[in-house]
Amino acid sequence: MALLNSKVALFIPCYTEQFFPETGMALVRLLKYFSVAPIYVSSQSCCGQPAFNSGQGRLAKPLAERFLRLFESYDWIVAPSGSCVSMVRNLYGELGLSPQALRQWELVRDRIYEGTQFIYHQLGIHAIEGRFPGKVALHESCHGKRELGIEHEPRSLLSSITDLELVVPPDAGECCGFGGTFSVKFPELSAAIGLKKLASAISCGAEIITAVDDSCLMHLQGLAQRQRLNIRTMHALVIMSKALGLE
Amino acid sequence: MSGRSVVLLAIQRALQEEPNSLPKETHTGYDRKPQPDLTGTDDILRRFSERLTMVGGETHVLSGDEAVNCILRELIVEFKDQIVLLPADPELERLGIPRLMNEVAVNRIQPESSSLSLAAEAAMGITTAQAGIADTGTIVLIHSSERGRLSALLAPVHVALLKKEMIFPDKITFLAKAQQAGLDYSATSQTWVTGPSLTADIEKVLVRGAHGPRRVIVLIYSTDQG
Amino acid sequence: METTTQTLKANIRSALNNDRLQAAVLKATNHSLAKRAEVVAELPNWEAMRSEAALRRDRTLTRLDDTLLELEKNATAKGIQVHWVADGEEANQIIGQICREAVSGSETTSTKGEVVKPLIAKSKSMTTEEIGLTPFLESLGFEVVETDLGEYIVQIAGQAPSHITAPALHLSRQDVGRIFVEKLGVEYREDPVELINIARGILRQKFLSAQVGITGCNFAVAETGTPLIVENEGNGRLVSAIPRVQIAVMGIEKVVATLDDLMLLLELLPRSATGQRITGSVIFFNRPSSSRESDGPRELHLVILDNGRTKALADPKLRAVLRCIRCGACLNACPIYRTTGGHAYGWTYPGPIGAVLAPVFLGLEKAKDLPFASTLCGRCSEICPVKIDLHHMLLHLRQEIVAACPQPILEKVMWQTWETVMDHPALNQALAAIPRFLLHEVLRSHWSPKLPLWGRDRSSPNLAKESFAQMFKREFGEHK
Ligand code: SF4
Repeated sequence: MALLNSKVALFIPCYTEQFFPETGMALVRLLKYFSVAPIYVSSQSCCGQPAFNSGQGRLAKPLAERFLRLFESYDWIVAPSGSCVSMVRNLYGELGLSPQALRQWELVRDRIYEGTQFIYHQLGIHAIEGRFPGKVALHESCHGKRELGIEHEPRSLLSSITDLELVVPPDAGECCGFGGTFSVKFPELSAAIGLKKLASAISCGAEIITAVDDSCLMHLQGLAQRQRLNIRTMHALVIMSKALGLE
Repeated sequence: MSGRSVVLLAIQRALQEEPNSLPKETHTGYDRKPQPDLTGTDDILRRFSERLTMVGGETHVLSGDEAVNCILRELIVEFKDQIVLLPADPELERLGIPRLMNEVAVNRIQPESSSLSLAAEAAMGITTAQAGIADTGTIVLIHSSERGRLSALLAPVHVALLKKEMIFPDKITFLAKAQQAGLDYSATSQTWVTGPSLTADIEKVLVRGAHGPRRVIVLIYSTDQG
Repeated sequence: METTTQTLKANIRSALNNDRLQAAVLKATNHSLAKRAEVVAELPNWEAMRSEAALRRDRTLTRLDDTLLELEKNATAKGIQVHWVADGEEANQIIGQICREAVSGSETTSTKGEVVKPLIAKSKSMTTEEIGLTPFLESLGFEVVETDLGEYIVQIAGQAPSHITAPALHLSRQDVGRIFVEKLGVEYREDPVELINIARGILRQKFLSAQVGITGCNFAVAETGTPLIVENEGNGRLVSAIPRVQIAVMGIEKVVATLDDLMLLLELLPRSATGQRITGSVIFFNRPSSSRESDGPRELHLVILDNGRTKALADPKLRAVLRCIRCGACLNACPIYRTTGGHAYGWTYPGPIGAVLAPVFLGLEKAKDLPFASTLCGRCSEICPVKIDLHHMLLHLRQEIVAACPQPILEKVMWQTWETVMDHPALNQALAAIPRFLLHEVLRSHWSPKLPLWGRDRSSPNLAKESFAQMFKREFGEHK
């Protein structure tokens, strides 16, 4: 495999780092399983999205420049979040970066990938030969779907798993209502949108709702817990890694 | 300063600040050539009828003036003793429609020369249409002193007479050929009508017959067999 | 009009507490989206059409002055009277003047001796909503009737339109039934056909006695000097057929260069708005009626309005918002609009397009919350027929608002602290040394239901026992 000699770095989003480390670990295990040894740069922090999303682009800029400095020298950067990847790929240009950072960005933006996309396109893995019993509803996270064009990657990877029944609810491509800073500024509205999403997944008979972003799932999980709904959330990478027994 | 110069100045200032935001790539892959499957007259006719029917309109394809008279008679009989609007359109005259109406004893009025409140009582209006657009089932009404707007608008039933050869495959072809066909697009006001008037303003329930006609019947005819 | 943080929050809350409204909005927007999807699917080149339309709109915008001058020249040559106005106030003054002149000399008392207000019939126009034309004309002593059935319903209910193409979308048939009982004194009924019939009957009389017709203007073709409107109910046809004076009101961006451009937009607009291949009527106001014509306006006025649009024109990041053809598709697709309906936005234009236009038209300070009331999900940009990058414009506006408007101190400090921590690995690591159970407790208490950073409806996530860095180190040892 051509990737064998290339340097693959992990980018672990700030909330994954603190709240969902097992998603990061699932990514590491999957990469190793497919013969890629990812490098974890421990001085990494946040891509800057929360700040930019909140109108604090001024504060996002140093973080973006820091990100680019840290990851410039890698052949690939893989992150378990479509949202952060989209920030780097599509929005860093809006931050007024220094000329040097802009040059770095031109390199980095083509090398950063969301996990399922990386596994599907760069590793050429289109099926997971593992087993995970359960009915799983897909939530197509907005930034992954609309900014990165992620569509068939998680679908084919997940639906190839033995005993996993993947359901795509009619509103799979609609927003879960998280929206980062929006969920704090307009909590009731954010919750109302999320509950619609959960209701639709539940009415499809799903026990689990999955996505390629823990940010959406964190919000949906919080709702499901507080409202005592009969559904759990699990990142697509975690399902894949469990299916392969990588624990 | 007049409003005109204020607005123009504001626009010009704005454009100076940011003169060119156009992308360099201007090929969008858009191809506006008319639908290839609509070349033969029959195809065009079929498409026109199909599309108009889909939106709740009715069509009859007729050959010869006699056939037009025949079907009109059938349609008008229903409105015996009621008011029917008929503008002073020479083509309607030529087809002998005023005479036909006298025979059937409907109360024919010309909206041009009668009171609005009387015209508003009409049960039916008969007009010509100057062109048709097959792709959408649209009739084009070009307004003039002989072809006012109200005959096609006030009554619940509108019958439009449309010459077969004046149906064009689509909007773009219509605009390209209208001039040749003797229709000066920009000279007069015109209305493109597609099916009965409708509303879906209450719970998206489709109700046909809003402020305009509830029924639109298009009689497509060829004058002589040629 | 103004939206404050309080009113926005209150509006949202009242929408969230109104199940009937939410059901009506969801049902209607779903219906529109489904119909749109059907007619879009039959055009294999839909995406190319969108790109082409965006390009042509941009082209016209880059030479907007010349295009408008061409429109003016060609329209004037045919006898259309063109008026340029900088803002709503000027527009209202000029329109008021035209209306006054139109009715002067006509009697103002009925046979019974009571004063009869001269009547103005309007067909749907968001631009006239934007400038508050109706209340202004009423203040001059005119009776102003909205003739679009949806708009009529909201008018008699004393409400504003809640959607740019479907003004009464938020009302159920029961709501309409009750409004009719209360405002029109008719018996309660809820069959849409019967309700429509009642309104039609009333409005028919209004049409017949209207002295001035006011319409919007969906497009105005520069090369032929032709304003035009699209509509379905036939009210636009009546408003432009019966009164002898007609006024069409357009924003400066409504001009299109050529008929060819128009044909492309006429494919996109009805499909995106109502899922139709074309609207029931497209009415071209090519010229005033001649003295030999018995109907149509003898006097035809075209009012060209700026009212803040040139501010968008001057801003490279926002100029493309002027491509908008007001189809309303972005409203139907927006998760916020779909949940709250249009009134929550608190001003004329709701939905994503409204959240972009508000800061432009009203100023950043007055509309500082609307751009934040979005999840930035991008459905709006995805569906927009002229490819306006709405959600990225909202993101851009957030930056502008934070830079221009005073921010709460607490928020400022919080963000600055966050940035400092994130930008300093040493600080980050120092924090990581704090026992996690302690951090966990701090977070829980702070994010508790009593201090609901995340609201009452949602549990906060649990801080993991180990961070990823710790886990990775424990399991693989290697670090860089
Ligand atoms: S922004 Fe786009 S989708 Fe929204 S109303 Fe305007 S044209 Fe339609």
